[in-house]
Amino acid sequence: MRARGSALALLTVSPSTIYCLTVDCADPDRLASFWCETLGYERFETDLQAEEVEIRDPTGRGGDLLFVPVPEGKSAKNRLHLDLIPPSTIREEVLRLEALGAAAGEEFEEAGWRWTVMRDPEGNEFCVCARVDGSLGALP
Amino acid sequence: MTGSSVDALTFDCGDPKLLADFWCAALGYEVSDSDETGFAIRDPSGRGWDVLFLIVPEGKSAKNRLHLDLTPPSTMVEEVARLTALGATEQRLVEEGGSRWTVMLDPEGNEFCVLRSRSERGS
Repeated sequence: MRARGSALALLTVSPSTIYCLTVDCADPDRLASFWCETLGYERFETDLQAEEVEIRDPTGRGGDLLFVPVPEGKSAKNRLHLDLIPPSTIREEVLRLEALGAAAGEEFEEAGWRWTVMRDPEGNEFCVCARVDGSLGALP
Repeated sequence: MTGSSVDALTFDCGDPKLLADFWCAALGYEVSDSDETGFAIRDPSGRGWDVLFLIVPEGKSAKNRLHLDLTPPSTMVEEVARLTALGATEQRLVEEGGSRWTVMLDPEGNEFCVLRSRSERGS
């Protein structure tokens, strides 16, 4: 009964909500510009004193991204990354993002998905993905 | 111009079920898919990003350069206590520029922050 009671208590507690995904970086302004172009986001708040830039989805659907300056550089592969669905084909989007300053890496196909690993201008990994059956994103 | 859209935020991890359970309880999410490679969780209200937990062979070796900031439903202190009971670790309280937040680690050491709630920020 006690276990059941505490499980019930957990269920009735309101959870946290994601306020934003924060990205440590060397140049918040440059990275914010890159991700605005990549996601169709817009600048929402710039804290000039703290040199932080926050960007948001103007449609209100996606979560905010906040770019904050940190003294240290990137030293390892990130354990968190964004997976993106392109508006066109993977190949077209990879070319567009390369022109914006990203670097394209390996291509994979597994479990019904195809994706290309990319790195943003500060080396943060992200993937451009599509379902092989064409139900999400497009090939090639 | 239409950009790409975010399909998911993916965590590399050692134990996808452990992290999926923790983050489901933290965010009120539910498991939407799982197999031997990982777990997918989603916001039942459809508002938040989907989150994936995929097994990788390597462990965490540095502070993550990406982390989630969370808005608690009640107060920061109450939410830090709830998340600690779920398996997170409180790392430190930061006060900066008139703002205040708590840095925490999830059960695999991924950093995240609990901000003050909307009512706390308004007061």
